[in-house]
Amino acid sequence: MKALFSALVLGHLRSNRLRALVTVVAVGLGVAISLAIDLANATAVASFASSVNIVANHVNLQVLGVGRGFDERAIVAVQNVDGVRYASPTIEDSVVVGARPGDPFSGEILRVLGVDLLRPLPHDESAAASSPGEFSAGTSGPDPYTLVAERGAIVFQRVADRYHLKNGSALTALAGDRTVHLRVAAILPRAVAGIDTSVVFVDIVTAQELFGKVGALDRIDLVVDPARLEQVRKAVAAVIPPGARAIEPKVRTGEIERMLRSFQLNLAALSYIAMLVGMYLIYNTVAISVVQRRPEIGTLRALGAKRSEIFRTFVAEGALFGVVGSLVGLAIGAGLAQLSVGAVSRTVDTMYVATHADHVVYAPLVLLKAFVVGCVLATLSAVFPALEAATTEPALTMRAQGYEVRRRRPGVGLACAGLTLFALAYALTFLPAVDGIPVAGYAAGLLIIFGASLCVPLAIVGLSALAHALTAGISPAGAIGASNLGSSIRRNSVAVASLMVAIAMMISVAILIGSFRTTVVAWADETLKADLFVRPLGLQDASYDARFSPDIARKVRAVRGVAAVDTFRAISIPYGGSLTTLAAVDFATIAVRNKLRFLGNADPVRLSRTLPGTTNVLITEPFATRFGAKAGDEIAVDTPSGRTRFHVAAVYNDYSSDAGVILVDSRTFARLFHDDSLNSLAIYAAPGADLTELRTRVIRSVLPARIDVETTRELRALVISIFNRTFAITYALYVISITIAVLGIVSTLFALVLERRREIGLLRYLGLTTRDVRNMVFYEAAYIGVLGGLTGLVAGILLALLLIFVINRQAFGWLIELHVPWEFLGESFVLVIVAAVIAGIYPASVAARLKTAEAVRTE
Amino acid sequence: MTVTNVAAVRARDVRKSYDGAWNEPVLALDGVSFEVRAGELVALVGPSGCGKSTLLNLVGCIDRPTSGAIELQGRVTSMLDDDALTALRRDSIGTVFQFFNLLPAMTVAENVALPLVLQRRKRAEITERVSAALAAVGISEKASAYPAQISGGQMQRAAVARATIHRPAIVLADEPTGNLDSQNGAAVLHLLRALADGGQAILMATHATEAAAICDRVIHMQDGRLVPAVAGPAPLV
Repeated sequence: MKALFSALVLGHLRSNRLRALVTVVAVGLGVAISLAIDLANATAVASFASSVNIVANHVNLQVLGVGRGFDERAIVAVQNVDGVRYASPTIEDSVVVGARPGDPFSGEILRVLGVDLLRPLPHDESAAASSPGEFSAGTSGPDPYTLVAERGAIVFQRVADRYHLKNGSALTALAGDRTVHLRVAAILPRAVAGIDTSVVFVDIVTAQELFGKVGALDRIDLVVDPARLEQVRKAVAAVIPPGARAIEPKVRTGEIERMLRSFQLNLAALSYIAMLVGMYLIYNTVAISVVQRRPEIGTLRALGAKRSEIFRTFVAEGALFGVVGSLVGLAIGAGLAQLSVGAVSRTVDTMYVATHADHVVYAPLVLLKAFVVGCVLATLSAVFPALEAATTEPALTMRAQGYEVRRRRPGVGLACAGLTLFALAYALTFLPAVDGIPVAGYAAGLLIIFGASLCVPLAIVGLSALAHALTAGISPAGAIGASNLGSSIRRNSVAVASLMVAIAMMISVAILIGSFRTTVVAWADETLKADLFVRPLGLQDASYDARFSPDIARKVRAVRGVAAVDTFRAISIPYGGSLTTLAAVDFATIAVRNKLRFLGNADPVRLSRTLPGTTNVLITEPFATRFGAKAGDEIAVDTPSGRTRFHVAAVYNDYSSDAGVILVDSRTFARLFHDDSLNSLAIYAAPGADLTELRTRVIRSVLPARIDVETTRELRALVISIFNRTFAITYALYVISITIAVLGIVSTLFALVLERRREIGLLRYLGLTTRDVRNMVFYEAAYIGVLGGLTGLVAGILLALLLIFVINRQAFGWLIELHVPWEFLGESFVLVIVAAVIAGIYPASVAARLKTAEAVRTE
Repeated sequence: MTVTNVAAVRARDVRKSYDGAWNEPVLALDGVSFEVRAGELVALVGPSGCGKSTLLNLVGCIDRPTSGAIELQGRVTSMLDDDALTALRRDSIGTVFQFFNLLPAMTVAENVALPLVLQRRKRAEITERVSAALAAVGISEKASAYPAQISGGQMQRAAVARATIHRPAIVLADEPTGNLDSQNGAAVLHLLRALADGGQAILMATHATEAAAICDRVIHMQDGRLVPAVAGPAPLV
């Protein structure tokens, strides 16, 4: 086996270094992109999970409140529970630093953790060595007076560097609408494992004052006897106020994982397409190896080598590519993760939950998974060519025959199989999601990709004949290129198929994004009917921490030119093992302003008359899909006033979050959650009011509170901007997939040129000029591009329909209207052909340099 | 048709040397002079390594002499650049190889049409001349077959048709019967003889005495030099 591997594989790879390199790079890119996405996904969850141990290690139980938290006296009751070894009361909120008026993306959100900095940590191994706790216990810590009396803050070195802070510096920030001043009491070193560097530690009393939570706590971190965890949990649950819950940290992490599951799964699925394209390339490379070494295989078989040995040898070649490519992929992926983590965490922070992942968590399991998946897929990719090598008769393999033998009606059978797969894919679209995951939808996507791949050979035969007919008599290079295309159907099929997969992915995602954007714009136009929108200054995340006092709404209502003001408040709540948003608006305005698009025959007038002040709620379509709820159902939610059963009055169309929204009346919310703060206001101007002047008056009316006021147009632009940012990473994914596919074209054309060396020499002998030889390769590359583009277009449109009407519907609950961006598709088609021709440059120059005499002289 | 006085190809004092394994010059051709006239079938015979292939490469314009001159239709090949040589090969030379050298990706008709395709002839003209050429060599029924689907004799007939379809000044045949059985070999020789009788100049390198026997003239080569030509026997009937 070793001797065979050396004879058939290693020697061949040495003399085909370029192709081996291209294959390794392509596999590496495929592994890298999926690793980068996996790492970004894992980091989002891991950074949230690590925040549990931010003050003390081994926190194994937490008491969590909803909304504005729970009564701080709970700490005493919790500490007295038997089995509780340590309890840390915590306020968790955020401030914004560096926000500029008029720029919703300006500034940086700093997570403020208010903990008892004056209290020592438990004296066991659980003390977090690098945590702020050491300052309170040690001698080199911050001055307790500064911490308590001067609103002392402990910041990380990164924040200190960015804002030019040192011990004693003033740190000015925005807490909602208020400007707050902190004093830097200590600076933590750069590297503190597992803690995100945007955290600012303050004393708990300071935090309560800063965020208007005097007498309240957001959470209590507990270290309890692990042997009696469940027993202690129940005891703690019995003594905490209504609305608060005692859970293990992993439960909270699980809720976040479930909330992010669809988003992360979709990203991962897209990234795996890149790996799939890389696998096509391995298939191609091993297939070329087999064809090029047919005589050697025949000789070895004639000398007694077993079929199984030949098979294992070529599978081992695939595995070799897998191992080397995956190692390269790990290196590239680890680097790419720096970018992907930023992109993914931005979306997660904006749309789902504030994780503030700012550095990659290189989870060993994620790295191992990428490596193993890369190796396994590469090995599997080599199975078919290896089977071909092992099953061919020695007499045939020894025949001097560099090319595939033409078959009668090539590709017809395969195309029929492909159409069958399409039919199967269609059947799968009728199956429901499994636990919210559109498993059948993903399977249908794979069937579409494989089905389209099986149709490629017939498409090659057709285009080869058509191109030959069109170019014969006009361009010898075009005609010969067309013949070449049809003569290497299998080889070219794989190159075309890999390009097709990459393009199909690009086109399907482009159609999905285009349709989604059109739908969201229409939704925004319909629902954003106010004239001005008031929000806290600067960047915001999904934590809804940035709040106004109700005074702001009162002041704004009194401004001249303001006809009406709608208020909005939201909090994140646990629901159904996941997290969702509970939002409060004034239901009385539903009929007046009619901003919601109801599904079914809900009557806004009746709703606005009957719902205010009640526990009747409206739910969004994604909530209905995710949690299987419908109008008429009851939803039980834990509130500070106890478990409350809400009645679903109607379902409405919404694109703000796939985590779902429960909309309650603002009066009911204030009553149940003891919370009258607000996150944003919508202002309706009086007829004839000048909006620019009105905006100025509104800003002045609330001074010294700091707010941002945006027009409808600006807010719509913001919605689209967030939308574009959310999908930015998908563009990066398909650029990489197409790069891999183009590398596949380079590899294929290069192999074909080398294989046709003798024929090219003969054509040169017969009078084909070097320019014609170059053009011949370019033509073939262009034909591959045309085929990849056309088949990719068809498969892409099918995938887009699947994504829009099945996968997104099942995973997110979005109802998206189909909108095909034809112009983009046209441009992409042309670009793909150009890219394919560019891929032909190197093989063409090699072909043109081949010596005519040598090719014919071998006679 | 009789042999004319017009020289299709003329070699004058042609020398060709290569660098040997130790960078010492190896003289492959040493002062070779000859000509082939239209309508003449000339055999080039000699033992292996005598320089036959080198001479065919020079006449075929895929190599240049170290000194001396090859004239093809009055043009000195050593004075021409690569593009001009390519054009000369395309328009003025046809070649029949020992191993046929048909392109496996193309049908027989497409292979035969290649020289005309390369000359960018009109499709109708190509179709017409390919039909005539295939008929002339007796394989019309194989027009749409691929090389792998026909016999060696049929492949060589197709090669002859490809070598002559564009009416070149000279046809070079390099051991055209070397890879054929005697029956098919004889058939191909008949074809070549008939072509020469039709006015085609043909230079054929061969080991086979029966091949040399049908030629108008035989040029003997030994160690890169010509041994004076002797008249050949009468053409086969």
